[in-house]
Amino acid sequence: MANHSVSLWRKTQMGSGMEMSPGPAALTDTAPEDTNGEGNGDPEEAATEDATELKGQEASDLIETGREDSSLLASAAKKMRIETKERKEKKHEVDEDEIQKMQILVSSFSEEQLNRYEMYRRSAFPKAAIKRLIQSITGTSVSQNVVIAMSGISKVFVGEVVEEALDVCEKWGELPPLQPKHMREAVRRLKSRGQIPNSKHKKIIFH
Amino acid sequence: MADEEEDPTFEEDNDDAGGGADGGQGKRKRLFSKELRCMMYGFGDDQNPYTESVDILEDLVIEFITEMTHKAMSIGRQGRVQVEDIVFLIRKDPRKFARVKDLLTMNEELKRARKAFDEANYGS
Repeated sequence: MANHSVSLWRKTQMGSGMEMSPGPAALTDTAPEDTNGEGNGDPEEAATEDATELKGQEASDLIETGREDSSLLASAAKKMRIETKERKEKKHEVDEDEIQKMQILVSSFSEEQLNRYEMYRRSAFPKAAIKRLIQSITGTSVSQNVVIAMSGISKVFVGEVVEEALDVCEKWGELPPLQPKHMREAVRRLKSRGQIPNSKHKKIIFH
Repeated sequence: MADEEEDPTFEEDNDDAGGGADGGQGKRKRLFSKELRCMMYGFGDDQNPYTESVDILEDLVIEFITEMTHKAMSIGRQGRVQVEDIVFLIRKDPRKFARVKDLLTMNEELKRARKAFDEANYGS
């Protein structure tokens, strides 16, 4: 999905002159080194054959092949390093694009949108209360990571319910603030999709 | 009799209307009222959401956490809740799974950064 959005972004940035693809640029930068490595491959083999026969130039040839040997290995290693660096750059590129897009989007928010976005990012469940709740259920202590994970998942859960309730509200032609009937209808829909865990219903398999 | 078949969230409404009458989860003190209000606003609701809606959401969240905790206790290492169990339970839900992975990765990075910072301070 990130790639798709990156390609869309490129189309919209046709005339902006932004540096959109450091990837290919990096490729062209390393191309001469690549050809260097590959260019060494063929003369190197020829040189080894020659070195065994020639005497006068043997020493210098051997030195040449020695250097070419190590340089061949070095260039192979360099190629691998470059590939992983490119892959990381590509991932950074995607991250960089995402970050740039987000920055441009947030910079064009109205005041009300900015408020809402700030609330969206900053609101969180208090870790102490979540930890107390989980510990009261388990009876034993839980690690910090569990509390972090559980608070994060709960926030996503709240988001899903609220978004569904807003859909219901809009579908019924009403306006926010959300009323309990919207919330209940949202919960009913999410339940039918299996997004709300419910282990109270005893399933009878064979009837 | 009919009350038992209905969603427990229905009891919530009767509770608020009755004003203090015991009705299951209505008696417990509200744990997340303030944070839930901010969260609802952030997710698209009005700046002042209805108290009844906030109550319904709080009950939903507590039920969700309770279910997850019980499930996590029954898998992996019995009787304990571990992060791996939570990640396993969440695996089918792409949003929550990605969020948990992000949170845990960020936490690790922060811990490493803090440790490096402390060591640098200690050295100088």
